This record gives sequence, C-alpha cells and structure tokens, in this order.
Amino acid sequence: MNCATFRKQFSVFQDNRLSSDQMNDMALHLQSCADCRKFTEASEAVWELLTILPKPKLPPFFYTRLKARMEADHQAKPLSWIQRAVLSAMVTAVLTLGIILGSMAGRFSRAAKSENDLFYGLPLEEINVLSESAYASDYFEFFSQEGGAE
Amino acid sequence: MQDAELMERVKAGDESAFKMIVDRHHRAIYHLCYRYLEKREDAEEVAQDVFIRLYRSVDTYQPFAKLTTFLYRIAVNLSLNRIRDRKRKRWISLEMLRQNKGMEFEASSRDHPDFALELKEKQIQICRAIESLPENQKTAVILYRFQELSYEEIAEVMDCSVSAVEARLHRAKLSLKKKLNHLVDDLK
Ligand SMILES: [Zn+2]
Repeated sequence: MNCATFRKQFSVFQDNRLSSDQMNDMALHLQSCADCRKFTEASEAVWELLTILPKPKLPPFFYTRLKARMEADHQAKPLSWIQRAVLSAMVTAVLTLGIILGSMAGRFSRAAKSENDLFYGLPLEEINVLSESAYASDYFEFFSQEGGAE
Repeated sequence: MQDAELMERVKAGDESAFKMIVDRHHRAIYHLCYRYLEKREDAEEVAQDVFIRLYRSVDTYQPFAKLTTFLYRIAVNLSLNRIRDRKRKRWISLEMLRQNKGMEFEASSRDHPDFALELKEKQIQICRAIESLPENQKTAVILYRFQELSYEEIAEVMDCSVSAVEARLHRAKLSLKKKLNHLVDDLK
C-alpha cells in the first residue's frame, strides 16, 4: 500500500469500517510509514478534541412549555401577509372615513339647513371615498369567516 | 412501548402518548439543535418546532422508518433554516460565544479562570471550524460525532447513500484537521 491509498481511506479506517483484510493492510502501512502515522494521530486528536464542546443543560419543563406554545399558537393563528395587507388598507379606509365624517359634521353643523343642502354641499371626491368605504363591511365579514372556519 | 405504537395512539387522540414521545426524544433533539445553533433559547424553540411538526403530521405519518430518523430529519432541516435566517439577518453567533451568553462551562473551569479562558477560546475555534463546513459535511459530523448515529442511520436521515456519508465525513475530517491542527500541536 502507498501513502495516497492510505490517505484516501484514513477516515473509514479510523471508524473501523473496512474489511479485516483492508484494516490489516492499513495497519501495516501505518507501522512502516512515519508520515501517515503523524497524519493519523493528528486527525484522531482533532476528532477527539471536538468533544470539549459543552453540552448544555436541558431546558426545564420542556413538555409543559411545548404544550403552552402549541395552545397559544392554536388560539392566535398568525395572519398571512395578504390578510395583513387587507387589514391595514381597511384601517386606513376607516380612519379616512372618520376624518371625512368629522370634518363634514363640523361643516354641516355650521352650514346645513335642509337635506338638499346636505347632499349638494358634499364635494365630489368625498362622495367617492364614502362609496369605497362601503366595502369595509365586506372585509369585516371576510375576516370573521376566516376566524370561524378554523 | 415502541414509538410506532405510541404514534398510533397519538393519531387516535391520546395526548399522554405524545407526552411519552416528547419525553423520550427531546433530549437528543435539543442537543442536536444546540450543536447547530449554539444558543439555548434558539435550540429550545427549534426543538419545540420539531415536535409541533410531528404532532401536526401525525395523521399523515407513515412508519416508513424509525421515528428518530423522522425527528432528526426535521431537526436538521429546521436548524439549517434557522442558520440561513440568521445569515440573512447578519447574525453572528460567535459574538454570542465571545460574550459568554450562549455557552455553559464545567463547574471546575470556574475555579480556574486561566484554564476556563483557554478552554473557551478552543471551543470558539472548534465552533468556528464546524460552522465553516458545508451544510452536508456539518450535518454528517454533528450526527456522527455528537449524536453518535451510525453511518447507516446518517444516510437515512440525510436521505443519501452510505458512501456519500463516508465521503462527507472524510472531507470534513480533512477540513477540521487543517483548521484545528494547531490546537492539538499545542498539546504535544
Ligand atoms: Zn504513508
């Protein structure tokens, strides 16, 4: 056996995974070759050294904490990104609606005299926002269905 | 009771059977995750994730292999995912080690600060060397050296041939020897 063959098989030799004939050949080479002996010793020493890594203590009450997390996960199913995007759009729409209604209420209390005045007093873009906000109730329904289906 | 039998009972809604499975395997799974993540909180969270996955897949679970193979496979994948997440978030776990937040030391080291410092420095270098291995080699080393699985069991967990495991361990040993040789030279 030459050094190249020995080096190619050193790992499985170290792990005792060769046939007994092959193990003998490797051992014979090791006896006669100082270089491969040095190489093998160093490799084994490094392999041994890995065991100085600390083993942490087990966390206490692993099962109890696992169950608590499973129950919490079950109760609070996280929203998907689509649901989050729709929810934030909805919040924005509701806030916008609130601001518009607030400013309208202020304006109406000062200026509105009759129902006709109320309608014609509204600028066109505010009427558009009002009609968009009507979709908000559909979104609410969508979420309550999602929650209920769980 | 065998794992397969316990899994049947979990499937039938027996929670105590699930507890028995967790009690039986959480130690090995936690240590496996810890070896990848080197941080206790992360290791516990990922170990919990492993059992949550198991619980959720109980209806479709087929006893094609040992339950441990199934658990190890999930644990390896989730740990590697967590490491990839950290890299995306530019997490440097070695900083944690340097600050001594993630590692525990033997009681005896506390009585000898110089020795403890030297030991800690060595541990950091070993962690760095293992961390630097390609994922396949790292997994082979962790499963073989630290979890003490056989080549055949590792092949099952990694879904590869035994000769692939041999090749991965061979390359990993050469790489670790190159990176850590100076530490064993110091001992001579
Ligand atoms: Zn030689």
